Amino acid sequence: MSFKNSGMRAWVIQRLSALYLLFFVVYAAYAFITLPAGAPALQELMRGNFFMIAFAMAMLAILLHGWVGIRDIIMDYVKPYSLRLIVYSLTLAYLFYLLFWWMQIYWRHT
Amino acid sequence: MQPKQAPVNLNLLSIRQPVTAIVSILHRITGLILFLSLPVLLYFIDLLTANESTAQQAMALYSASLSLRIVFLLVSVSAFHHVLAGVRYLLLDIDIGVTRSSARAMCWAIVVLDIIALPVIGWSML
Repeated sequence: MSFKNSGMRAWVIQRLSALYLLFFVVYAAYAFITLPAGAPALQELMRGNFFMIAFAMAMLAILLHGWVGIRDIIMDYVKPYSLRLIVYSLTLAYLFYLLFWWMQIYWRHT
Repeated sequence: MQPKQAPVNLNLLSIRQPVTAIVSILHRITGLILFLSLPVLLYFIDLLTANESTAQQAMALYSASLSLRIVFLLVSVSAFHHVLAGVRYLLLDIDIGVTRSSARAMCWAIVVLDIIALPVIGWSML
Protein backbone atom coordinates (compact mmCIF):
# COMPACT_ATOMS: atom_id res chain seq x y z
CA MET A 1 0.00 0.00 0.00
CA SER A 2 1.36 3.40 -0.91
CA PHE A 3 1.71 5.80 1.98
CA LYS A 4 1.14 8.88 -0.11
CA ASN A 5 -2.42 9.82 -1.11
CA SER A 6 -3.90 6.77 0.60
CA GLY A 7 -5.16 8.59 3.66
CA MET A 8 -2.59 6.63 5.70
CA ARG A 9 -0.59 9.78 6.43
CA ALA A 10 -3.64 11.63 7.75
CA TRP A 11 -4.52 8.58 9.83
CA VAL A 12 -1.04 8.37 11.39
CA ILE A 13 -0.95 12.13 12.11
CA GLN A 14 -4.40 11.95 13.71
CA ARG A 15 -3.49 8.99 15.95
CA LEU A 16 -0.06 10.29 17.05
CA SER A 17 -1.40 13.77 17.85
CA ALA A 18 -4.34 12.12 19.67
CA LEU A 19 -1.95 10.10 21.84
CA TYR A 20 0.07 13.18 22.79
CA LEU A 21 -3.07 15.22 23.47
CA LEU A 22 -4.45 12.42 25.63
CA PHE A 23 -1.42 12.62 27.92
CA PHE A 24 -1.39 16.43 27.85
CA VAL A 25 -5.10 16.73 28.72
CA VAL A 26 -4.73 14.34 31.66
CA TYR A 27 -1.65 16.25 32.89
CA ALA A 28 -3.27 19.69 32.40
CA ALA A 29 -6.54 18.65 34.07
CA TYR A 30 -4.60 17.28 37.05
CA ALA A 31 -2.42 20.41 37.26
CA PHE A 32 -5.42 22.78 37.15
CA ILE A 33 -7.55 20.78 39.60
CA THR A 34 -4.80 20.57 42.23
CA LEU A 35 -3.85 24.25 41.86
CA PRO A 36 -4.52 26.67 44.75
CA ALA A 37 -7.16 29.29 43.89
CA GLY A 38 -6.22 32.70 42.53
CA ALA A 39 -4.30 34.31 39.70
CA PRO A 40 -0.73 34.06 41.12
CA ALA A 41 -0.68 30.23 41.31
CA LEU A 42 -2.25 29.98 37.86
CA GLN A 43 0.35 32.35 36.44
CA GLU A 44 3.20 30.51 38.07
CA LEU A 45 2.04 27.21 36.54
CA MET A 46 1.34 28.57 33.06
CA ARG A 47 4.50 30.65 32.77
CA GLY A 48 6.66 27.77 33.93
CA ASN A 49 9.01 26.19 31.42
CA PHE A 50 7.46 22.74 31.66
CA PHE A 51 3.90 23.91 30.99
CA MET A 52 5.00 26.29 28.24
CA ILE A 53 6.86 23.57 26.32
CA ALA A 54 4.22 20.90 26.96
CA PHE A 55 1.62 23.39 25.75
CA ALA A 56 3.73 24.30 22.71
CA MET A 57 3.76 20.65 21.70
CA ALA A 58 0.03 20.38 22.45
CA MET A 59 -0.65 23.40 20.26
CA LEU A 60 1.20 21.74 17.38
CA ALA A 61 -0.74 18.52 17.97
CA ILE A 62 -4.03 20.47 18.16
CA LEU A 63 -3.38 22.19 14.84
CA LEU A 64 -2.53 18.89 13.08
CA HIS A 65 -5.33 16.94 14.76
CA GLY A 66 -7.84 19.74 14.13
CA TRP A 67 -6.87 19.96 10.48
CA VAL A 68 -7.34 16.21 9.89
CA GLY A 69 -10.65 16.17 11.78
CA ILE A 70 -12.15 19.26 10.18
CA ARG A 71 -10.98 18.03 6.76
CA ASP A 72 -12.92 14.80 7.39
CA ILE A 73 -16.03 16.77 8.28
CA ILE A 74 -15.66 19.01 5.21
CA MET A 75 -15.19 15.99 2.92
CA ASP A 76 -18.36 14.42 4.34
CA TYR A 77 -20.71 17.40 4.18
CA VAL A 78 -19.37 19.98 1.71
CA LYS A 79 -19.84 18.43 -1.72
CA PRO A 80 -19.47 21.18 -4.37
CA TYR A 81 -15.76 21.36 -5.11
CA SER A 82 -15.53 25.17 -5.32
CA LEU A 83 -17.29 25.56 -1.98
CA ARG A 84 -15.05 22.88 -0.48
CA LEU A 85 -11.94 24.81 -1.54
CA ILE A 86 -13.30 27.96 0.10
CA VAL A 87 -14.02 26.13 3.37
CA TYR A 88 -10.57 24.48 3.28
CA SER A 89 -8.97 27.89 2.82
CA LEU A 90 -10.94 29.43 5.68
CA THR A 91 -9.99 26.51 7.95
CA LEU A 92 -6.31 26.87 7.08
CA ALA A 93 -6.43 30.65 7.60
CA TYR A 94 -8.06 30.08 11.00
CA LEU A 95 -5.42 27.52 12.02
CA PHE A 96 -2.50 29.70 10.88
CA TYR A 97 -3.99 32.70 12.71
CA LEU A 98 -4.05 30.62 15.90
CA LEU A 99 -0.51 29.38 15.25
CA PHE A 100 0.97 32.89 14.92
CA TRP A 101 -1.05 34.18 17.87
CA TRP A 102 0.25 31.34 19.99
CA MET A 103 3.84 31.96 18.77
CA GLN A 104 3.49 35.56 19.97
CA ILE A 105 2.47 34.29 23.40
CA TYR A 106 5.30 31.74 23.46
CA TRP A 107 8.11 34.08 22.45
CA ARG A 108 7.06 36.66 24.99
CA HIS A 109 8.45 34.20 27.56
CA THR A 110 11.76 33.19 26.07
CA MET B 1 -41.36 1.54 -17.70
CA GLN B 2 -39.85 3.13 -14.66
CA PRO B 3 -38.10 0.65 -12.34
CA LYS B 4 -39.74 0.40 -8.98
CA GLN B 5 -37.90 2.73 -6.63
CA ALA B 6 -36.59 1.30 -3.38
CA PRO B 7 -37.72 3.38 -0.42
CA VAL B 8 -34.96 5.71 0.73
CA ASN B 9 -35.18 6.96 4.27
CA LEU B 10 -32.95 9.97 4.71
CA ASN B 11 -34.65 11.30 7.82
CA LEU B 12 -32.18 10.15 10.46
CA LEU B 13 -34.45 11.39 13.24
CA SER B 14 -37.07 8.79 12.34
CA ILE B 15 -34.66 5.96 13.17
CA ARG B 16 -33.77 5.02 16.73
CA GLN B 17 -29.99 5.32 16.54
CA PRO B 18 -27.82 2.67 18.23
CA VAL B 19 -25.65 3.90 21.12
CA THR B 20 -22.51 3.49 19.01
CA ALA B 21 -23.93 5.95 16.44
CA ILE B 22 -24.78 8.46 19.17
CA VAL B 23 -21.29 8.27 20.72
CA SER B 24 -19.79 8.59 17.25
CA ILE B 25 -21.75 11.68 16.16
CA LEU B 26 -21.10 13.28 19.57
CA HIS B 27 -17.37 12.70 18.99
CA ARG B 28 -17.67 14.67 15.76
CA ILE B 29 -19.83 17.46 17.25
CA THR B 30 -17.59 17.85 20.33
CA GLY B 31 -14.54 17.93 18.05
CA LEU B 32 -16.09 20.81 16.12
CA ILE B 33 -16.96 22.61 19.38
CA LEU B 34 -13.36 22.24 20.60
CA PHE B 35 -12.02 23.48 17.26
CA LEU B 36 -14.27 26.56 17.33
CA SER B 37 -13.46 27.31 20.98
CA LEU B 38 -9.68 27.54 20.38
CA PRO B 39 -9.64 31.39 20.08
CA VAL B 40 -11.42 31.72 23.45
CA LEU B 41 -8.89 29.42 25.11
CA LEU B 42 -5.95 31.17 23.48
CA TYR B 43 -7.35 34.57 24.49
CA PHE B 44 -7.41 33.44 28.12
CA ILE B 45 -3.95 31.89 27.93
CA ASP B 46 -2.72 35.17 26.45
CA LEU B 47 -4.21 37.20 29.32
CA LEU B 48 -3.14 34.76 32.02
CA THR B 49 0.49 34.57 30.94
CA ALA B 50 1.08 38.21 29.93
CA ASN B 51 1.42 39.98 33.28
CA GLU B 52 -0.16 40.32 36.73
CA SER B 53 -2.78 42.86 35.79
CA THR B 54 -4.00 41.02 32.68
CA ALA B 55 -4.15 37.80 34.72
CA GLN B 56 -6.34 39.53 37.32
CA GLN B 57 -8.41 40.92 34.46
CA ALA B 58 -8.93 37.38 33.09
CA MET B 59 -10.00 36.07 36.51
CA ALA B 60 -12.42 38.99 36.95
CA LEU B 61 -13.84 38.45 33.47
CA TYR B 62 -14.39 34.77 34.21
CA SER B 63 -16.10 35.26 37.56
CA ALA B 64 -18.25 38.15 36.32
CA SER B 65 -19.71 36.42 33.29
CA LEU B 66 -22.04 33.45 33.66
CA SER B 67 -22.28 32.97 29.90
CA LEU B 68 -18.49 32.74 29.68
CA ARG B 69 -18.48 30.08 32.39
CA ILE B 70 -21.18 28.20 30.50
CA VAL B 71 -18.93 28.32 27.41
CA PHE B 72 -16.03 26.90 29.46
CA LEU B 73 -18.35 24.24 30.88
CA LEU B 74 -19.43 23.27 27.36
CA VAL B 75 -15.77 23.11 26.27
CA SER B 76 -14.78 20.97 29.28
CA VAL B 77 -17.66 18.53 28.84
CA SER B 78 -16.91 18.38 25.10
CA ALA B 79 -13.26 17.66 25.80
CA PHE B 80 -14.28 14.94 28.26
CA HIS B 81 -16.49 13.17 25.75
CA HIS B 82 -14.08 13.71 22.85
CA VAL B 83 -11.20 12.15 24.81
CA LEU B 84 -13.23 9.13 25.97
CA ALA B 85 -14.71 8.45 22.53
CA GLY B 86 -11.26 9.07 21.04
CA VAL B 87 -9.67 6.49 23.35
CA ARG B 88 -12.30 4.06 22.07
CA TYR B 89 -11.07 4.61 18.51
CA LEU B 90 -7.47 4.00 19.61
CA LEU B 91 -8.59 0.77 21.27
CA LEU B 92 -10.48 -0.24 18.12
CA ASP B 93 -7.19 0.21 16.22
CA ILE B 94 -5.64 -2.51 18.36
CA ASP B 95 -8.74 -4.73 17.97
CA ILE B 96 -10.26 -4.05 21.37
CA GLY B 97 -14.03 -3.61 21.40
CA VAL B 98 -14.71 -4.61 17.81
CA THR B 99 -17.48 -7.14 18.45
CA ARG B 100 -21.00 -5.77 18.55
CA SER B 101 -21.60 -6.57 22.20
CA SER B 102 -18.30 -5.12 23.45
CA ALA B 103 -18.71 -2.03 21.23
CA ARG B 104 -22.17 -1.41 22.68
CA ALA B 105 -20.91 -1.99 26.22
CA MET B 106 -18.04 0.49 25.76
CA CYS B 107 -20.35 3.11 24.27
CA TRP B 108 -22.85 2.73 27.12
CA ALA B 109 -19.95 3.13 29.56
CA ILE B 110 -18.96 6.38 27.76
CA VAL B 111 -22.56 7.67 27.92
CA VAL B 112 -22.76 6.88 31.65
CA LEU B 113 -19.41 8.61 32.31
CA ASP B 114 -20.60 11.65 30.31
CA ILE B 115 -23.77 11.85 32.39
CA ILE B 116 -21.74 11.60 35.63
CA ALA B 117 -19.18 14.15 34.40
CA LEU B 118 -21.72 16.82 33.46
CA PRO B 119 -22.88 17.72 37.00
CA VAL B 120 -19.41 17.13 38.50
CA ILE B 121 -17.69 19.49 36.04
CA GLY B 122 -20.66 21.85 36.15
CA TRP B 123 -20.63 22.06 39.93
CA SER B 124 -16.92 22.80 40.03
CA MET B 125 -17.09 25.44 37.29
CA LEU B 126 -20.32 27.44 37.68
